[in-house]
Amino acid sequence: MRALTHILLPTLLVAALVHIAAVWAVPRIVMHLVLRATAAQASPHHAPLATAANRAIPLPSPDLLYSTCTLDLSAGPALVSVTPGPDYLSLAVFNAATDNVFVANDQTAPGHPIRLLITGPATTPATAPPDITLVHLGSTHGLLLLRALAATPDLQARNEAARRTLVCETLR
Amino acid sequence: MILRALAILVIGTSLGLASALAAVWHLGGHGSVRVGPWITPLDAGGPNRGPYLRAAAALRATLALARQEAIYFRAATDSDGNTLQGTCTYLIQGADLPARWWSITLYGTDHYLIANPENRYAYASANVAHEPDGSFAIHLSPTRQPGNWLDTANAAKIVLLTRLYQPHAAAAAAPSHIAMPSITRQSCP
Repeated sequence: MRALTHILLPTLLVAALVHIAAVWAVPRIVMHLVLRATAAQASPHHAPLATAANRAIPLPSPDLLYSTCTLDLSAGPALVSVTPGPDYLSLAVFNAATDNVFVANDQTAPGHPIRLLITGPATTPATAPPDITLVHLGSTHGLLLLRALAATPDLQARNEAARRTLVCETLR
Repeated sequence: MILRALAILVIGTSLGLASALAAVWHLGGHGSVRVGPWITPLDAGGPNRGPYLRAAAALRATLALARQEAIYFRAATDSDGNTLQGTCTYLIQGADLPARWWSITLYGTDHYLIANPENRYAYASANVAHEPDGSFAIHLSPTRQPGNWLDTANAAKIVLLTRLYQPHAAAAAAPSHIAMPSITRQSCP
């Protein structure tokens, strides 16, 4: 009985706490590493098409052009805009726990630019202008990921131009 | 007293980490949908995932999209349940998938693209050659095959990932009803 209360129960309690903490921490550590890697790049960063030599992110799609903006909302909200072409192009917003909290694509408002105002926990404005979509990140740091279809050389050329219209700026 | 506390901390921490790893590995797929050899989590990237799927996706499919934007089906076996081998030849056969666009990509079991002289890693709805009846057939083989061919020569074991971008509403609502392609083993050394 003494061994149960003095050794087994405390050991199981420690194990349970570590278990919960580890499962909670894994996505946050992964996103921290992703953000640390992208923070060293220009924002936006336009990555080349994925190849076998690319081992930054698991399961890369070789049919997509990827561009990223690191989101640091500590100084203010981020204003993001892009003008899609006629092909698939999406903007996805990920929070610090790797959750895809928002996604818009070229068919969200066909023929119009996609404009997002991304706010963090401490930078929430009351409203956004009517042509801007307000996105609450829920964390101070996160990532904006653009995907543009590039399954053929023609698609790649068209969408290379489209993704170059991506602008990410901090509103202070 | 100090030794006992230290032992409790070390053993408890080890147990906690090991059980967390095992739970993420096994429970990360809890609630997944299977269609033949293809398995999909109900929501690979959305904010309402459970903690184990969130951790598993972070490790194995970082930055996956929410289900309304993309559905991901992974296959590590053929349609008979045998592990996909890089030394074997397989035929993937199916019809266009219910999405704005789709792709089937070949990976090693480490989830990275496999080097090959053609730099061909995938087929998508935009570039796959269709059969006269509108279906498609893709060969997986370590040796050159006619038509759509993905080279498996540089991997011992392989996995496939099918992506459906902007899935049709019925497909997003019920991924288990999607008619996924078959994967048939044709030969093995």
